[in-house]
Amino acid sequence: MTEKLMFQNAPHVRQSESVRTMMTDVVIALLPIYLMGFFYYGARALMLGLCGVLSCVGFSAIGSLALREKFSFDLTPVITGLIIPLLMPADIRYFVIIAACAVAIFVVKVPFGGTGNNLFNPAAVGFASAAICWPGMVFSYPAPIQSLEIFGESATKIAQSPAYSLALGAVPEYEVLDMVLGNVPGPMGATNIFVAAACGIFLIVRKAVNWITPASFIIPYALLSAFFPRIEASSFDSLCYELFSGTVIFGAFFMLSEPVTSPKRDFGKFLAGITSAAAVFLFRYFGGFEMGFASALIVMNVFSPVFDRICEDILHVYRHKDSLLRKKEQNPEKEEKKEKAPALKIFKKAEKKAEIPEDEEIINVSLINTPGEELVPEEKEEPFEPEEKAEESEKEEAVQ
Amino acid sequence: MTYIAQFFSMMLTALFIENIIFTRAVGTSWLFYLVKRPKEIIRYTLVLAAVVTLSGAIGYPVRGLIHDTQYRHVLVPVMYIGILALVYIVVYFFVKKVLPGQFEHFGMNLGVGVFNCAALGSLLIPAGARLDFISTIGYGIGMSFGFGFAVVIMGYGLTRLEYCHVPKAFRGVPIALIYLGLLSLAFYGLVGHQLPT
Amino acid sequence: MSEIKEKMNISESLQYIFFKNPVLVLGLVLGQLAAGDTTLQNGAALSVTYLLIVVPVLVFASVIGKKLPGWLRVVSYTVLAALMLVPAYFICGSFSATIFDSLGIYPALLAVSTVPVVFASKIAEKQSAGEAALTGLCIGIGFAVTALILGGAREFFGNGSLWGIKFAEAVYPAVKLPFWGFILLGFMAAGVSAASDFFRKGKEINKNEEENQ
Repeated sequence: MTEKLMFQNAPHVRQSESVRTMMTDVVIALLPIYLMGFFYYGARALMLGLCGVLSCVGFSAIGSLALREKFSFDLTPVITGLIIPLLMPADIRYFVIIAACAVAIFVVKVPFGGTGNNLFNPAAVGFASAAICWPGMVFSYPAPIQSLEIFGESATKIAQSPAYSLALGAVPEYEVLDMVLGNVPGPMGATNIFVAAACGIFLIVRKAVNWITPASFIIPYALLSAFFPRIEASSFDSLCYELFSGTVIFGAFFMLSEPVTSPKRDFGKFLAGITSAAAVFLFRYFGGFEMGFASALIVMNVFSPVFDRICEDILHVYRHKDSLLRKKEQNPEKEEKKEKAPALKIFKKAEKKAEIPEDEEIINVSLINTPGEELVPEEKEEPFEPEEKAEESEKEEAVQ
Repeated sequence: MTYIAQFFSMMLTALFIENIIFTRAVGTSWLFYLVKRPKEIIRYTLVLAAVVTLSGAIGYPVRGLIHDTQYRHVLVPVMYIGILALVYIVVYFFVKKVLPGQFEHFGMNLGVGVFNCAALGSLLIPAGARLDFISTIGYGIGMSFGFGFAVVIMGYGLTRLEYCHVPKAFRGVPIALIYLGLLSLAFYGLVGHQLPT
Repeated sequence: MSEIKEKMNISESLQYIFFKNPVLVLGLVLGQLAAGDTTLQNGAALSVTYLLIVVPVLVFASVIGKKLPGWLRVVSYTVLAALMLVPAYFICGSFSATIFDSLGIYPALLAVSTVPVVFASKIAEKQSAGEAALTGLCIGIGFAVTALILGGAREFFGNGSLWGIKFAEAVYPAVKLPFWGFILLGFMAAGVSAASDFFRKGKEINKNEEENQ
């Protein structure tokens, strides 16, 4: 008999589409942004993308070789390799991209178990590590509409991106229309607000991205920046400047709504969206870097299991609401007594468990023992961890 | 009023921006000990806050005498460890006499609750930065609660890690360390580019 | 019989160098290494300090610690560890004058790390003086190996120098930050666990073959 239940991590897809078509949609949606990059900065934009993709795929092949696993090609490293250059200036050197891709694959993806298991967004971590290491290179941008040399460095650099002047507390000197069209110095792909939003809507229509996450992120973020402006401007201007500078729109569609690292239920996605809006706003308000989005996203990835847990609890109460009420109506007094008594018993048991006999247990500083590892040095009187005891006795038997 | 504002601003700084685990990397082994015991987190965080406040208050006047001498790198830690020892003895007998119920719970483990890197670090960092009295106390309390906050965050992360197909070589200590490193990377983005001293 | 027991104890102590490495397998002194161990010199200073703390404290615990009342034990171990910071300060000052300035608070934190506080009262009190000294030595060596490898790698990639002598451009300056310390330690720990798995498998195969024969 075959097993009826299969355990599998996200992304879960319930249509005739597979994970592969979903990922292909994301890749297709990223290509127009590269075309805009080609329009503004010349062929170097495409070369950067190619470099990112090749290094990501190569690194994941090396990773699976090192772990002695079979390398199965999927499109997630391609997406990571396409996103990382879009967050950087167009005249970034190639080795920065390669280093960021190496961090994204070797630190975030391979140790956690590959596709579907990464707890953090690889592109966000790769970009953040590169930004921390070479802030001078990553945060100084070339002027748009010039064709850069494919290899070698370009001469003119402008540090005054809109996000930078916002961080200094000054009003950006660019018009809103230019910012929407991407005609301002900034990250290669993320400045093209219009194209990024169009591609995001394409993803939503294709159902590769749930609409809840970007909506519940962008709307609260816009409201926050309208009500608490960082600069001396009207609230509408502040809203436009905050929303269209940096990587907010691009990140909301392509990074925040990644199915693996975001919560699974709709309500959880809603919660995560609102909280990450607040986090991004705080990080940009108080942070030392202008890369508020990436680091806020990493922090929010930590909380997505918490949101999942909250959703499950709420749903449980909601589903069993009727039966719980019915029981209480039938015999309210008995129910209360019943509820109280076992709770007290459990409490007493917990107290008993918490009693730590003198001296014992403390040595067990070694963390999170995995089966088969003797992390605990010389400890035979272990009252509270019967599994280890069993293992030890097994070993003793084996020795005898 | 200004004192209260100063106190809370120092406390919040120590809690989030200069978190004891994520930006200072102090007290990690103690964190990994507590992560396995979720019931003990609140109790030990409170003990930590009490001990840090008490020893910070005692140590402040003594610190002024020695922190300009040539051998301050040795004298200040030795002095603070001496003060921690005094506080430990006082707390030990206080708990034993006044709260015998609590003493049954964690009598001998109190030693580890007092002598750990988190407690000494929360005392030495304000001493190194030469903060004034109010800031020292606020910073110590903020550091202690920041420690509890870090333990809770790490606990959630490690429970989520159980559902990942982590490769065999990375299970246990390695993946927890990498997770901690990525978390502190995220907090580093908040602080900006400066090395903690 | 007693000889066999002694041999067992010695092999158990030797395990602390690699298979029960205090940093990479037991996860004990992580923060000090991740944040403080940014150059080879810092690694050497931390190792010297740790050796000077661990060995005397464990010997003291095995000789005198048993006779002390319970509440005094932890206190005496920690105060002894703190006093051992003084010779460590002068020894480390002999090879670099500013080493304790650059290390900040981290060598002092070694005095209240897990080994002097917990190991001393749990393990060393049950051992004889010689065994305790050997255990301490092995723990110190295990720590020193890790610290020197980590510090050397970080100095090489972060500064392009080794022991203060510069010979190349810095490749990746961010590697000196604490979070890279954690990540590198994680990868080293993964290497150790893979290696010990490999050795364990080899041993098991040998055993099975012997049994079959």
